[in-house]
Amino acid sequence: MTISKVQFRRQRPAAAGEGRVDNPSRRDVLAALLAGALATAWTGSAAGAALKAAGAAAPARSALNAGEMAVLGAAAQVIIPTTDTPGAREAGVPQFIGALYAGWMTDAEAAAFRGGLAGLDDSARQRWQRGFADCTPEQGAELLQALRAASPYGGRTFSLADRILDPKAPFYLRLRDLVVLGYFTSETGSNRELRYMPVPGKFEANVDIKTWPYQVVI
Amino acid sequence: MKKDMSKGAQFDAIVIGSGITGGWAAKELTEKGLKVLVLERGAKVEHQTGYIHEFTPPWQAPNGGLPERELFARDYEIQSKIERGAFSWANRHYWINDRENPYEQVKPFRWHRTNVLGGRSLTWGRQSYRWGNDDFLANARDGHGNDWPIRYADLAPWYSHVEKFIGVSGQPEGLEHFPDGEYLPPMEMTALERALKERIEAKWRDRRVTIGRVANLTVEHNGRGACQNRNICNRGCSFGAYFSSLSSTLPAAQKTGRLTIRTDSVVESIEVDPKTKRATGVRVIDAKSGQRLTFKARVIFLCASTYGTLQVLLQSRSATHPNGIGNHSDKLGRYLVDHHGVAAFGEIKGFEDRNYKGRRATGILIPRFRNVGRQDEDADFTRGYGFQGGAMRDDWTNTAALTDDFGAGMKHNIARPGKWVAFLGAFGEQLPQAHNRVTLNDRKPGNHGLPQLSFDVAYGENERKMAVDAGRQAEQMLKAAGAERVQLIPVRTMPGVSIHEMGGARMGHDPAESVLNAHNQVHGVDNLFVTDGAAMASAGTVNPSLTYMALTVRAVDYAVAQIKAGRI
Repeated sequence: MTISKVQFRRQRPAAAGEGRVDNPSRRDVLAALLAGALATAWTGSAAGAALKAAGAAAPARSALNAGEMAVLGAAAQVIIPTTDTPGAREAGVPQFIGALYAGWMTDAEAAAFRGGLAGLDDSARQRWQRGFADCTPEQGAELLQALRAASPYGGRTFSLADRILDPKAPFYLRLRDLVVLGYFTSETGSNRELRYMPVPGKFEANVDIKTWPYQVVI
Repeated sequence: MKKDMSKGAQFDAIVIGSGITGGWAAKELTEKGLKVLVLERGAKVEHQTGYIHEFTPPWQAPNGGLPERELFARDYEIQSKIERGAFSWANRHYWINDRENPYEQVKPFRWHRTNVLGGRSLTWGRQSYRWGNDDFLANARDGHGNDWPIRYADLAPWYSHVEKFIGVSGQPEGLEHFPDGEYLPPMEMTALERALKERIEAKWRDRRVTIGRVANLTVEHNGRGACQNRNICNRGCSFGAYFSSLSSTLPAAQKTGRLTIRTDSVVESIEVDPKTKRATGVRVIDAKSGQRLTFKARVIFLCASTYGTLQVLLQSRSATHPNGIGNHSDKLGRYLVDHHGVAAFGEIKGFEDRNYKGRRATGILIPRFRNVGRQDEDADFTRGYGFQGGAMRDDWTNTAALTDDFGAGMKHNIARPGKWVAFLGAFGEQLPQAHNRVTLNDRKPGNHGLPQLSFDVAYGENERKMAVDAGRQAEQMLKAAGAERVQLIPVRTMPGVSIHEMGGARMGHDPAESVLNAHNQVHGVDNLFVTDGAAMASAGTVNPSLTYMALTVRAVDYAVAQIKAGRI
């Protein structure tokens, strides 16, 4: 599939009194951050500072709203679609990430994540004239691919958790990694893709991959 | 043993600590007829019911298993940094609260400790190796440290005694400097580990690749169940399939009817009678009430873990022992050693059609091959190192972290077994040196107002050179086994990280040079024994716990004989 790079255009502030006119809008800032256009790394604090500069109030830590959950759900399903096994939505991944957002992320991470979802939704409206949640899987994949291409990451870790903890990981990577973590630790992912074996009993040290193409998790 | 050998005291013996050595001391002392009080500073944990997350599946792990950063930063700043994942959501309740138990780092030092009954016998790596005679001769040969007062022959029967009880799975190899023990059937190697063994042994005649000798039962043993190959040992094991105080030694001691355990009992000091020179009792702070109590007994075994033991000895200050018990010649707290390291790993192709099923709870080991019995001509360092490692396929967390793609292909790739990776990590012998020490800082009150233990320990030139050599050798071996590119990663670069804590109350013949004698008796305090890692005069190149156990049972045997002879 050929991917056209999404263009993030600057928008004028929508409402008077929403910050000074020469201020970039919150959306603009997010869009720029998402596109990797700022020299600063996409860290929570950078995002927070940029949001502040854009005149946004510090975000309250309420749960993601229905619209945001819809974007998250659609994106998660593009990242881990239904194949011969259930996809991210069926495995409860959006709820998993929603819970991390509400109870685990730092304020800076939560602001960045929420902003990232908004940016993804904006990019859908610009490219497809509809919200991300209403895009087809193909349209969503194109947007994610563009975001991925625009999200450089210089770090290198040996485990998924380490990368999720890396403040330098851009929004795209954070989203993708949390979906992967949520899916492969879910009951569905643990049993249908991996093989959850609470008591393996034996260790079979050398088996043919054709007879056992699985990873045992516990 | 006469039934009532204590003179009005409630207990014949007090054991301080309930971990690997404390549990053993309690078992041996009670089985020899003594009434024993075990004092444990931490909370009570019951075998089986205390392993609260043993059967918690991944989808019930809090936050998908991600660290609770605020809590860890606040309460587990040191413990949460344990290398090799021994600290997790599944066993956090075993580890000590760092905020409540501060210590001073003159130089960076990791003190990893639990705070529960059973201690680190619950969380240990279970690798169980005998020291060879070369290890006991090392100090005398190169002049670093003092001569060990014992040799391998002194410990060999006690190693057997311990192995037979705990159950060690392993493969005899017939190497002189890496003695064989009494083993249950070995665990099996993966396809790549077998190849690694063949290729390395073919190229270097002095090197051997063997399966990790581990205190997990490959068959039912002494009423405990066989290992179920879950590899989540450090959560605790309801099958009793690995050795811990809770699965093995404390139940055996309990069976005698002569065991009393008191948890939440922080030992402040040991009392010594200035006239008789004997230890008369143990002063305890009740961790819950703050109440101070004293327990008396005829003989005391100090098994509080290396640094815990040193803290107790240093805190036992009196007119007779102004600088702490065993510190008459300023040797207490000095000559601390552990294992430094470096690790190497590389992808090896050609085994894509092989997999394994289950989760084996050990790795592979390459016993020391440098400076064995003599100095190698091409080695610019003294002593040596062993390697531990393995060759497994990347799991989904590794595969997922190597990529950033999405979609059905990614889902499939991450779920399938990943690339084959061989890994070797060196455990290098740190030289015993007087300046590597702990002291008490009276200006810094810590837990219960007791002075903080202050660590002033650093690796030196010999450790640095050894690590360079170990990295080079690991790279050569992995390349010989088929790795195209080998990456070195720094591990165990900071003292304490290996959790192989040794020294500080070293054994020796000369009271002017050591704290303990050849039977782990404190010089000059005949009824006080120290049998944990503090007793070690050098570090060797293998995991030390089995040696602590052997020293403990040997010391108990001696102590009880001395009691019977009326000398203690």
